[in-house]
Amino acid sequence: MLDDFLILLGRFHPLFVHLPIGFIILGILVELNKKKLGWSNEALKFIFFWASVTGVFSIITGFLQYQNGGYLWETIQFHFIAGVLTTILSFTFYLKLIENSIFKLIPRKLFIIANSVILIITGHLGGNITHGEEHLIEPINNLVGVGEKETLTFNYYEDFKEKPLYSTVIQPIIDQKCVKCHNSKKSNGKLKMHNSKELMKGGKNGSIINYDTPEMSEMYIRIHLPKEEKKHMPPKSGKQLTRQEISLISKWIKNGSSFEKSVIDFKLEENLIDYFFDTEKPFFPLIKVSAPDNESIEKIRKNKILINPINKNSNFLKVSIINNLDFKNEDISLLSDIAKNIVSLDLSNSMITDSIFSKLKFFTNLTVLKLNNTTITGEKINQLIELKNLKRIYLVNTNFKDEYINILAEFTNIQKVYLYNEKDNFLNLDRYSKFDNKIYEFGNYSLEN
Amino acid sequence: MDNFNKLNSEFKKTNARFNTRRHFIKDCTLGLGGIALGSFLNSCKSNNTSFNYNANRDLDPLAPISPPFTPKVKSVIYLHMVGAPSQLELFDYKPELEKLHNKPCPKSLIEGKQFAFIEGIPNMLGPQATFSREGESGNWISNHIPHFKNIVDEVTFLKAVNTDQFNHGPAQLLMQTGSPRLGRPSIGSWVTYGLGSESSDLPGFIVLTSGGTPDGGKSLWGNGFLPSIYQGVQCRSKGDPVLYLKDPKGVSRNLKKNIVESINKINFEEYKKFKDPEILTRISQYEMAYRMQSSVPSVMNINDEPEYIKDMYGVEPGKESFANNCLLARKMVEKGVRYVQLYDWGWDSHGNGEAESLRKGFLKKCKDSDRPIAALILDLKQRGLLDETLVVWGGEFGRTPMWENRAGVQNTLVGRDHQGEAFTMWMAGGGLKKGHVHGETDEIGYRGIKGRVSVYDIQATILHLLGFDHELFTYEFQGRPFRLTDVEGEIIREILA
Repeated sequence: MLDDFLILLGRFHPLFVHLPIGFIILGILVELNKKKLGWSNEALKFIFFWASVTGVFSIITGFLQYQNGGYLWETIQFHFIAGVLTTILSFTFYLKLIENSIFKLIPRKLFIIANSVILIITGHLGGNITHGEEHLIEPINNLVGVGEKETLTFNYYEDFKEKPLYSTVIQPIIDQKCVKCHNSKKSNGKLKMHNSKELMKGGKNGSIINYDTPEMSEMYIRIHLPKEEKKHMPPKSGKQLTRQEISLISKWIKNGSSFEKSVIDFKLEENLIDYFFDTEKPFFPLIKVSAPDNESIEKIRKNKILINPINKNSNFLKVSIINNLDFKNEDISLLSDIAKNIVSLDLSNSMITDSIFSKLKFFTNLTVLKLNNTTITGEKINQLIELKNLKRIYLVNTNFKDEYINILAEFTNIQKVYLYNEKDNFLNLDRYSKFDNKIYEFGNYSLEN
Repeated sequence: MDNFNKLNSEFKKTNARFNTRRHFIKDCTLGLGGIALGSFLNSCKSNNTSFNYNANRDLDPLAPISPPFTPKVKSVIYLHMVGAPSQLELFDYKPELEKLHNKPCPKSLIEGKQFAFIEGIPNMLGPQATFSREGESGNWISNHIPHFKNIVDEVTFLKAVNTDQFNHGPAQLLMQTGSPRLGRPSIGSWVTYGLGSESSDLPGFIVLTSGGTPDGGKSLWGNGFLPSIYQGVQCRSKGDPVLYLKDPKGVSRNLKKNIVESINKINFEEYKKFKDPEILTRISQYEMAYRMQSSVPSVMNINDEPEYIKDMYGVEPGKESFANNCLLARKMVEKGVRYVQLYDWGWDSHGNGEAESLRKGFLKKCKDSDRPIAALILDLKQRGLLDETLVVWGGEFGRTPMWENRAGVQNTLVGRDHQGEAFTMWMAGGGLKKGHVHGETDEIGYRGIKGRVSVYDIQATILHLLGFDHELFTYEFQGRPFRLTDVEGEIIREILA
């Protein structure tokens, strides 16, 4: 009963701490404007008295929170010390104001500066505990553009099957669903799960993995308990494991909880592989690009150019000039702002010429390029060799010259080039025989009569 | 000109109606309250959908938008063989059936079964074709479709499709709308609703028929409960492609433009007031009709195609033919049409008359469709369109391994009755395995024994290839979300590349 009351009181810590913060800031403001306000000394006494009282109360609730919330001393020590210091400073300033103490000699300015600094430090450290240390750094980094990398977002099964199941799948699940309460800072039940070493150590009731009878492992039992059970993990209020995650973790425990065994050794069922991995390599690039800005998209749309993401949630775009056949070389500058976002570009039937290639080479993620029914001859198509993602090029009914055909085979990822020309009319088709027909499609199919 | 004056005065009157004193007073009192209430209600709506870069559909219901997943194909050509072609004479080779030819059907096979015409004990009917293995895949192809061997390595066969409908109309409706009863949107309507139309000059969903109108009627390309802008537009390959599209005598194109703009202005006022999507439909249809006046005749004109392409398809310009329609389908997909639906009527080979005989009418249907289909696939392939187009071929059901005996008497000509339990369909195009066979029927082609797929599975797979999850792609109607596959359907993963 009393315990529960103390836990409750502790949980109010994040609320209480704002009282001394408010008083101290008010006090500093009054002190800074003391010339304007005639009553400043009396007011300051009142303000810093209450700052001290609420400060003490904050320390008490904070201590209760530390005792019952599963936090480690290492995590909270500096926040705690800074908090105590803040309260002491407030109280000494109060004592100085009532003029009967030894603190009279210390200059008021020093008090104010020290109190401001310490207050900021305490608040920041407290924030780090509740929100995580990345809390401020992350948006700042994003703001100044540091650390914005083109990251992989894709788990291709073939790439992962030789790697340990634990580090590739199990630990990431734990990181997502368990580590919030079982980490180096906060370890409910004295259990830490943020790495394999700590996981092996177990919690206050010993190891959570039972190697002799895996089904009796604490971890195994708790994730299988009904959600209503008190011992069910993750707790009812937290983010739950999915059906597939439960069966994967169970499989891992039943098979000896190995940290080294590779994905393929676990002989996972197809549905589990499908759930945790991508079994098919996606057609479009694997990197993440920043979102295109909406203004440029609207501007492009106004020019009757079709532009849409490749799927509803993608930052990659598909562009076609199907409804604006007057499109000329220079119009490509409309797209230059979002060049990196464009993975599919259809300029068929437009007025473009070979000089378009010098502009197209900046579309680094371009995967599909359609130039059908244009006057392209291919003269400068070698400039596109920098496009490492280019997979399909459509050159149907163009004036593409034979001498440039083999340049296309040197493109890093090229899969198919469509070079069919209606005007060929089965004349002189032998000249195509020297080209790799896996890459080049010359068409000119016929059906016997 | 009289008509035009009438129209003009009508325009003035309606325009005035929107701008009267009464209207001002009404809007100032009710309107303001309404606006206030509206903003309250709006704030109640959870707006948790993340911003996406899709085009705005508010004023253009056909604006192209992206599906939830990256699609494998962007257009569909669906070749529906109306009347249900016999799988046993085309793709499903059953040598065992040959041995049973003209022997009475075992009672156990037909007991408790419902047939359209078979009564009593029919005889079995051996394959009325010879088969050979063709292509690198070595799949069985009948001698009736010799050109098919050129594309056999491009297609994926579904050899054990089943449907629970055994009459043409309902079975066609089930195949095309996901329900054997009227009132549901067709696949093409769903797709156009979900993806819009890339070309601003052509409809997103075009229907071409040959041989006659299918039994299921025009509901097969109806919009059901979706806004009517998404219904299929039927184009005729003979005469005017779309009826009443030409300007009447004495009306210039400019005048027409003015009329359309004025009408749309009024309609838009109407829309602002009532927010009825059907008004937007009407506006877009007027605009579309105006643009189609020039764009449709050009896309429907096959004369400009090179001679050898016309020969490859075997087109008959000026006539209504399946070959013409196949060539048109390619042209349309090339021009950005989303969904082209072809219906070819005349495959109902009961053996009850020459046209329905497996040895006469059926052979003509095979001959007339074999070349255009092979040409279509090859033409799509050489232009790179096959990579981003899905071609589906099939009837509404299959045909029995028994010789039909209408009213208990064996038909004089060779024919088979309807069979929903097992029949063959094929698909080709982006995202599919090539030269693959999925599913298997028993020794006489009567039941699917392996890899059975339902009509819903096929619909789910079509939607999957276009980037949709068929279970989440819904439309709110009469108080509940509806989907194409209703409560059924599983993607046929085995045929996906």
